[in-house]
Order: sequence, then C-alpha cells, then structure tokens
Amino acid sequence: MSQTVLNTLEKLRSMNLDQKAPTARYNPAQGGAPHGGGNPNNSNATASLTQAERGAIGDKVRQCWFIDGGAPNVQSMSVLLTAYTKPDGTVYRAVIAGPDIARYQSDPVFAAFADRAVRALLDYRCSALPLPPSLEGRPETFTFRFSP
Amino acid sequence: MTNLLLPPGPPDVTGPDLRVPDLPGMVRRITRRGMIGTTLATTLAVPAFAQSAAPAAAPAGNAATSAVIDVNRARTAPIPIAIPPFAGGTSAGDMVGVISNDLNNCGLFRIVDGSGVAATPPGGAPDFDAWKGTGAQALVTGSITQNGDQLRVEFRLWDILPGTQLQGTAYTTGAANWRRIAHIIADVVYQRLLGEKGYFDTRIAYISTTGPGNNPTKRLAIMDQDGANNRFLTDGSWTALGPRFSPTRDQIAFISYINKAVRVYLFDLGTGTRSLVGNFRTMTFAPRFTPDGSGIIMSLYRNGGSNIITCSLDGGDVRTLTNSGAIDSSPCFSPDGSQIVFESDRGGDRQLYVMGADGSGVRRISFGAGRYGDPVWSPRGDLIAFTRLGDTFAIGVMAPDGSGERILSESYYVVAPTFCPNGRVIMFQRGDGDSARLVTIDITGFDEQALQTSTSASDPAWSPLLS
Repeated sequence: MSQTVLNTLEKLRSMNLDQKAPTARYNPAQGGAPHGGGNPNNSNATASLTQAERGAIGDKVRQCWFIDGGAPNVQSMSVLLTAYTKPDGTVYRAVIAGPDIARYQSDPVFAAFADRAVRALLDYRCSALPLPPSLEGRPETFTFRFSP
Repeated sequence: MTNLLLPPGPPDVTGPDLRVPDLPGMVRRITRRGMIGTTLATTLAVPAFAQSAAPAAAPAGNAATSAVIDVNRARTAPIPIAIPPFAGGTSAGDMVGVISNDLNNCGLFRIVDGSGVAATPPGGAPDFDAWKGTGAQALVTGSITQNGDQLRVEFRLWDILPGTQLQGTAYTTGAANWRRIAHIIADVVYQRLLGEKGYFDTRIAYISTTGPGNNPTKRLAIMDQDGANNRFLTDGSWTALGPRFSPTRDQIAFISYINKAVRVYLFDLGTGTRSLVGNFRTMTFAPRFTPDGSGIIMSLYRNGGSNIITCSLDGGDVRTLTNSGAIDSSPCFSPDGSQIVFESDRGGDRQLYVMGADGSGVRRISFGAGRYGDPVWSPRGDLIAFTRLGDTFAIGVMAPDGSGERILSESYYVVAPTFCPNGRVIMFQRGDGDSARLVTIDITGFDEQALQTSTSASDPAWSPLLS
C-alpha cells in the first residue's frame, strides 16, 4: 500500500469518522424489501400509499361498483380482494382475500356480492388505477375492501 | 397474467337418460312432480381453456393486511347480460326470447345487444375481449337440437370480465316443455349471478272476471308467471275466489259460494276436481295451506265474528287458534311455521297481529295511519306484505315486529299482495271489477310492471317453484 493511502487512512481515523454511529437506513416509501422483497409480484403496495392516494384509487373504482340493493343483508356485507396490476397500473386479476374465501364458498348471496366487486376492478372503465409515480413501471399488488 | 384460451373441447354430457312426459293436447295437466322427476339436466364441463369460477386464495402475506383501499358508496344497477341466439333452434318457440324477457323484466338484469360480436363456436369459448366492448358482464350461450318431439338444450353462463365459465348444463325434454326449460335456464342464471333462487319457473293462479257487472262470471285461472299458457280451471258455473297454492302438492285452496254457502274447497290441478274442506256448518273462508302442505289454516264464522282454525285437508283435526269474538281473518304462517300473521278488528278496526303457531302471544304489529289487511309473510321470513286503506289504498311491507313499514304502491284500489317464491317480488291487484289487473313490484319499491291478461284479473296467488 502506498504511503499516500496510508496517510489518508491515518487522517480519516483521526477524524473519528468510523467511530460515529451509522446514519444509513432503509427507505420504506420505496416499497419492496420491508414487505417481502424478492419476487415483486408478491409484494403488497397498499401500505405504501398515502391516505389521499388510496382515496383517489377508491374513487376511481367506485365508478364501477354496483350492487343489488335488495339482496338479503347486503348492507352488512364487506369483502376483501387482492388486486394485481400490470406495469401500466391496470388491474388484470382480482381474487378474494383469505378471510373471505370460506364465506364465498358457503354463502351464495355473499359470493354474488364479491363477484360484483371483482368485476368492478376488472371493468375497463376503472381497471387503470391512478397510481403514484413511485409505483408505476412494475407489477404491484393491492388490497381492496368493498362495502355497500 | 391473463387467462389463456386454449383450443376448445367438446362439452361433457353425462347422466341418466330420463324423459319428460309430453303434455297431452290442449288440456294441460299440470303435474309438477312429474316434470321435476323426469327432466334430464346434466352438467357441462368447463372447456379446457376457460378457468372455472372457483375463487383463488390470495398469496400468503397479502391476506388480512391492515392497509386497504376502501371502495364504498355503491350504486344499485342491473347486471348487463348478453343472450345471443342459441345455435340450432326449435320450431316450438323462441326460447332465448323467454329467457331474455324473464331476466330483463325482473329489473335485476339489463339485456345488452351483442349483435356485432361473432357467435361462440359450439363447445368453444366466447371472444371475451369482443364481449367486453359491448358493456356486457355476463353472457349466456347455448344450442338447441330438436329431434322429432324431443329437445336437447345446452347452455353455458360466462363471467366476461374474468373470462370464466360459471355454469354449463344440458337438458333433454319433450318439445312441448320448451318454455319451462327457458324459465329453468333463466332461474339458473339468476341464482348464479345473484345468489338467490329464481322465480321464473312458477305459475300464477288468479280469478278471471267476465260478463256484466251485475252478474259477473268468476273463473279460477292459471298462467305462467310471464302471462303465457293462460287457461281456465273452472267454467264459471260456480264462483271461485281467493286461490292459494299448496307448497307441496298440485292443489289450490279457494273459496266458493256453491249452493249459496261460503266454503273453502280444494282444487286438484292434476285431476281437475274439487273437494270440500270439511263439513263445517258455517262459513269458512280466507284459506291458506300450512307450511308443510298437510293442512289448512282459515277463518270460521262464529257468532258474528270469525275464529282462526287449522284442520287437515279433509277438514278433520280442527284446532281453534283464536276466539276473540272479533273478526279474525286472513291468517298466514311464517315460512318456518312458528308464527302466524292475521288481520283482526278486535281493537276497533282492521289491524295486523302476530301470534305463535299455537295461538299464544297475540300482539299487534300495525300502528300506521289507516286500516290494515291481507297480510302475507315473505318466504324469506323478513317481511310481511299488506294492504293498507287510508286516504287511498296502498301495498306495503313491514318487518314481522311491525317496524320499518314502507309503502310500495298506492292507488285508488290496490289489494291482495302475494310473494314470489324467493320473496323478492310482490304481485298484487290494481283496480276492481272489469278493470282489475295484476301488477308486480320489487320489494325495494322499484320496477313496477303490469302483467297482460286477456280478461280482468284479481286475487293473484304465486305458486312455489316448479323445479
């Protein structure tokens, strides 16, 4: 190692830079690693959205959200869906989320309600979600809750 | 990842080879059990390319996240559905037209014109992308093959946006049953997309009135719920009123003035014969069947008033449920058979009361402005429909405890509500005499429609599902 390098190292040590606490930290706003990392198709970006961004997406999908107002107990229904988007932000697939699958399979009126929620997400008029720039350009996953 | 379409395969049809007996000539024998027991209905397998409609679980890690995007404040709208002509066809009639009218007229579906979309190849999958462009969200495709007097009808129901098949069934029956198969298909579509059983494969019994106002002829009549296949069950030589279907047999209970005595009778739809219910020495009226169809509940005149009684179909095993001295009438069981709603003037004017099936615990449930009568309990159990007379006549519904009263229709004369088998639609009479007509309305208060009949029509009764 050259004397110049050694001098530089000595100088740095004298500044005690290596004895200070690290300041580097992860940036959760960028998504990815804190929620799974690895395969981007398994990451759920819902938590990374601000309240306003979620509201904007909900407002967009609401335009396609229709129910049968006379169905039994419809006003008390609610269903969780997982939506998968293409890099351009268009929903291409929507499935019932875990907790509601059992009810979907046992309650036909609830299943009809949930099917309408799926159609709302896949309707071409509403499937292009207004995503923030940070989430554009790659596939994403979002969780929706549909209620009357 | 989009659903990939692979080359279609032929439909898979299995099942016992049963036959539906032909209906003999013009004299229709309405044998419900015969048709239920001998219609072939087999499931068609999903074509190899199209996914089934079974829901997939969200991958682990995505479920039950606390962060959600809420979508609420839904609007109510019918499901847009396309029903293009079925391949093949039958000379018997326009089956697709019957299916389309059933679904469109119930108010919960909107028929979409798909004339610009190429026909789905037999046994194949629709062009989902092309159908999306029409605005339809559901699609019914099918084929009809007629071989002499036998029909084979295949249909598939598709969910256009996910690109999946929801249902596939084939029916084999006599050509004379083509309308019933159309209604059955409409019921299947209704049930699959709405979650509740449909009501299209049903009939309406009613009273047809003809002749001069001072000497009308009142005949018991029956028709399909869409007004087709109307026929008279009696010839008018004796008056018939207030028909009610048995929930389990091909029978109708009704009132008549035969021999100038007001009595309850049974009409057998299979044999066309009538029989007197019991040998009561006084008036019997306002009959309905018990929920299991094994007995009758009705009013029995007594000392200026009327008691509510139950009895067997031959009038035996009489049990008196009310004995208030007032006029207690129009009893109707709850669908579970545990309670009875009826009208009574025991409080001074006609109001609605509910009691236990043994006559205990009588309590008034109507407290609005006006007099209440004609109560009928919804098959869902959640509503009681009624006629109210205030400033005008009105048809309304309320919860069994009397809360949530809503008026569905008002006019100078609207009476006699009856529920369809799934409790979603009410039929009632509007007008009287030779201007009486039958009208239907959704329990939400929307989609009021008049039913076309060749004569004046009153006292409607909706049959159970035939299939």
